[in-house]
Amino acid sequence: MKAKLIIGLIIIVGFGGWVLYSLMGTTIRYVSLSDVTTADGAVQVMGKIDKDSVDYDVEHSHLTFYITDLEEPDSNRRLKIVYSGVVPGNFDQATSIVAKGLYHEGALQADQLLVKCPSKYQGFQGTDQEA
Amino acid sequence: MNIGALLIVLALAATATSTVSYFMVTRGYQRFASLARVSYYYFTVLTLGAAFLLLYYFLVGDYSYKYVFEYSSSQLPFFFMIAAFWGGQQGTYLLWMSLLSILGFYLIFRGKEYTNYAMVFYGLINLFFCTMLIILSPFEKLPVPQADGAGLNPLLIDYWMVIHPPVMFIGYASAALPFVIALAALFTNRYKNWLTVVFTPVIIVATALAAGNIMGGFWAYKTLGWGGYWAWDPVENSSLVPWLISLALIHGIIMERPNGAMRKTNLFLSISVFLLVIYGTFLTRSGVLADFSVHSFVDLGQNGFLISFMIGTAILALLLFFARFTSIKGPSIDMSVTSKQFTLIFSIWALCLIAVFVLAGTSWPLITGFFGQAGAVDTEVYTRISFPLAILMGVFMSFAPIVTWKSGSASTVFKKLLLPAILAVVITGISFFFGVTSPSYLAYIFTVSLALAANLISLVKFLPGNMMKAGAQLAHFGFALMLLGILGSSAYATHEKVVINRDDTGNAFGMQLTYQGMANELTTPDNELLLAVQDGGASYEARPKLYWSSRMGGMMKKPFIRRHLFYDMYFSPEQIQDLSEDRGVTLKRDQSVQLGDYFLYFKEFDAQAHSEGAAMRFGAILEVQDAEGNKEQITPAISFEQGVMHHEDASLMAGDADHQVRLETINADDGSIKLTVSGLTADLPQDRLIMEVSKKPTMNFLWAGTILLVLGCLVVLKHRWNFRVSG
Repeated sequence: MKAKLIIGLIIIVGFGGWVLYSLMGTTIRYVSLSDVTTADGAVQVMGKIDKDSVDYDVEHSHLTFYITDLEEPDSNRRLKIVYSGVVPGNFDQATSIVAKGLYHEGALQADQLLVKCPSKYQGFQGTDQEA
Repeated sequence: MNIGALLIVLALAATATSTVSYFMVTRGYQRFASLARVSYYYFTVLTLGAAFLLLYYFLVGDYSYKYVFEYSSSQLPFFFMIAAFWGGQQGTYLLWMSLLSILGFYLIFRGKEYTNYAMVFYGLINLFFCTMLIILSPFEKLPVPQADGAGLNPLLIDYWMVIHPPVMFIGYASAALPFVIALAALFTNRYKNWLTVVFTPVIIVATALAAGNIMGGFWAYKTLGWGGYWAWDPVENSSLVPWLISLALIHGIIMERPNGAMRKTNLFLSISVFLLVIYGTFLTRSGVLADFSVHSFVDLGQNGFLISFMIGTAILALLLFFARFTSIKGPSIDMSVTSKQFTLIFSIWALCLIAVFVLAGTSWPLITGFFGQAGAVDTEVYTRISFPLAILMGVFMSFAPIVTWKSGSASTVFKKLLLPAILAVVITGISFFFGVTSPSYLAYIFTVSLALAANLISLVKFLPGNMMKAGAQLAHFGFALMLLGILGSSAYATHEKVVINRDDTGNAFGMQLTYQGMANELTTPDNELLLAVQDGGASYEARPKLYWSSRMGGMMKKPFIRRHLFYDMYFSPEQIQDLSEDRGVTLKRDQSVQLGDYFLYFKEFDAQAHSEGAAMRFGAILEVQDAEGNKEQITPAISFEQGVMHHEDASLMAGDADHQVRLETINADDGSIKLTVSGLTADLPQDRLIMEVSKKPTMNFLWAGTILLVLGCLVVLKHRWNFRVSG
């Protein structure tokens, strides 16, 4: 009985520790626009899209644009976002966006974009567009 | 008068009466028994009445109701008017309660000695749903009735979306049954028949959640165009977790059946399935994860109530569980490696560990938010952690059809594993031949193939007569096939990007793709792009969809999928680039332009515009002069007939077929025209298509595996009547 209990505990603690370690290691923290440049590792940041800055390079599917600070709109703070991959379907209509990725060479190299739509669409399970 | 809202209030009164009466029965007042049952019947009738009333409002298009207005419109085809019923939160709560009201009959007629207690707890759950439907009423009226509805989200206009939500909600609703049965067993402290009663609902939960998740994945794959079927999104995870726990519970029940082993675990898991369903509902509907999910979540003011219910039921259930914890005794378990018990226990462990891990990952924003800066996990971590556990599952599933209750000798077990092992080596070898070189992937393929082969061999032995006893083998075979399909389609999917001008040909995966234009305009709903595909000897037409949806305020796309036995070709359009702006020359009246050796002078608009009956015609009178000084007057035109535009081209000089002048557009604002002359103006195409083409191996393994898994569960469900608890 004792031995079984110990083996069970070892498995639980071992797995639990591994899971916790992995989860902490891959956590993508939510940071404000001002903290992006100093953050370590992957972050996600929300901002308002500067519509005039949107540029899409078709051949390489590079999307670049700037976002401005939503929390402090007067701050003139801007962040360049570089994204490679399929542009989310409702990007053109998006007002604000959440970009996930690493800050590198003066821009957030995003590998995922979550579009926040202006429409008042109320979501139901599994209905909105995947990014 | 609002009949729907009234029905809900009456249903609340009926279930309250029923609950109180069942409580009186448990206190020994038998005369309440018939009142308890009859008022439950009334509850069912009233709930289904409300559901059918709402359905009726959808079908006749009564847009004085806010919910009907928001999710339906008179343009929707019949089946999608039904699907619009569960397009939003209010309707799904009503669907959920309707299913609950029907499932309650199982407790009344098959609940054995647990009926009365179970119905008290069940009544409390129904009270919660009634109250929720009063807070979030689908029968809320609009201040001003509307003539037509806003329409359903176009992504939901798919046949899978008609069937997927009801199946999912059968799973959610039936999860309440093991919960109340476990509570009743704990409360009465009697466990003799509890397994017999709980088994059927558990199988229903597992089957419905499996089928529901698969349908959701299939819908995502063929509709959303990002190429996947599973995104580890909170919405998906919160139905995956209760599913995994229900699977663990099935295996736990098999453990408990002969001699009452693992009873506490099973009671705990029965409680957990329901609590996890409610927790998932909270995660996905409260808006707490709005910043971390690609799905839209809106808090509709239900949060306080939902959270109170969730915490209330959890505390009640866990208090009851721990109150009985020490009094439930099980036998000691034979834990030699070759016994069935060993395999079962570790399968249960593996399933629970994955569930706990996915739960932690999904809740991570809440956990980290509690301690400081909130953050979500990278979804990559889910695959990384599940991967070794899937390898383990392959091992356990290989043992499943071979090991027996009494631990056999190791050599017997290995003898039985010999043939499956040979087959697994062959499959692994074939994978290696097709380019799988990663040792961890090869290990995965080996153990999963071992499970595939072991269960197939066992399945064949049960054929043809005893098929109904082989539900487990069928389900395990399907699960293993599914695991192979998941690896192939995710780790070995390849993508190629193509940019093709209109009427031009591009290459992807050795296929020739010709973009021939589109069926309608980009602004037409369900507009299809026309692609001619030449794939070796075969040729076919691919018609992915790309169009602007005013309902969603965005571009919608739907991929085209060409199925082959061992792989899928997945055409996902990304964008149509309009190039017509850059084509041709723009002229205002009295302006001239030189094109090659020719001078074109725009004299005036054709005076005979707006004539000729129904058709509208706009012409531009041009004077053309060639290098020798020859002059001619030509009138290219555009005409509109029933909204369709036609170009009437003119030869630049009489008899010159090589140079056709086309009036492309007329700008009414500044009186300018745009001309193209074949061979003289830049020969740009009208537009070009940017598309991602993916080759996804073994997709059919995945779908076939999931179908067999569900079939296996159904066979077990059918076989349940032979379910007897021995010992």
